[in-house]
Amino acid sequence: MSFDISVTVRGRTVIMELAGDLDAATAPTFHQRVEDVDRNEVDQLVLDMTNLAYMSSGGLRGLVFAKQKMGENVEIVLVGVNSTVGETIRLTGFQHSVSFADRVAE
Amino acid sequence: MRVITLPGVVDSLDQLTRFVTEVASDARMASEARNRLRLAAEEIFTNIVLHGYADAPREPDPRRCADDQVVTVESEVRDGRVRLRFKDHAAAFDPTTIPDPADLAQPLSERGIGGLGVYLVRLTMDEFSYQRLDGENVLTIALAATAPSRFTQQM
Repeated sequence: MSFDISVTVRGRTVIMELAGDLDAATAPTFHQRVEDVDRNEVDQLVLDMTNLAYMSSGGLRGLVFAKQKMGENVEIVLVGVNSTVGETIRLTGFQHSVSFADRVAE
Repeated sequence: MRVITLPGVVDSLDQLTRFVTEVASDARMASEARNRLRLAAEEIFTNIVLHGYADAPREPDPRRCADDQVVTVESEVRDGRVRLRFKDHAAAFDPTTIPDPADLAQPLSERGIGGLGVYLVRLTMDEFSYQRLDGENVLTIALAATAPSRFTQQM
């Protein structure tokens, strides 16, 4: 099991590609990358989950952390969520606070 | 029955996942049920490590811990049902009493971060029970090997 994250900044959008498993062991890496973002320079945080196989509540806490760090005005968009990750998000009601997209906007 | 004893550290999650995958294969679990079992097992294990063993002195190596900071997991497959039993030596604590998050529609900006893992376990497992036996916390979860779709149908 592994977790990789790569970050691209496009104007006022930050795109993070997540790959592998986001759990209690790997969540600190995600937190750190969110921590590195300057909220004043961002309108949208896109989390590309196309290659994210699995997410536990450690990942959910990461989403809460991201939202609270970025503030109300930064939209969080989840891209390419698979059925396993999607179930975890929906069972905990997180779909109310994020947007979903099939692919990263050009 | 399979048994594994893991160091009580988050770095053991990989080994736990492999163990659960083997158990699920033994039981010919449907993939949906397999994913739920993995999630529930990881949530329980993580709770034990981060809360139960939180005050325990740490080894410098994150993959190691003291001999008494271990978690033993036993599996049993019977009547089409997979049961996992987690045993730890931390102070007595019954996670089945942790209340559900108050309001699931609450915006993330106002949410606390506790209780989500236990909530997921309670929601997805057919059984979630606790006993204190011989100085150990014993947590049991169980799930039918066939795909339970009581939640997916709602979504």
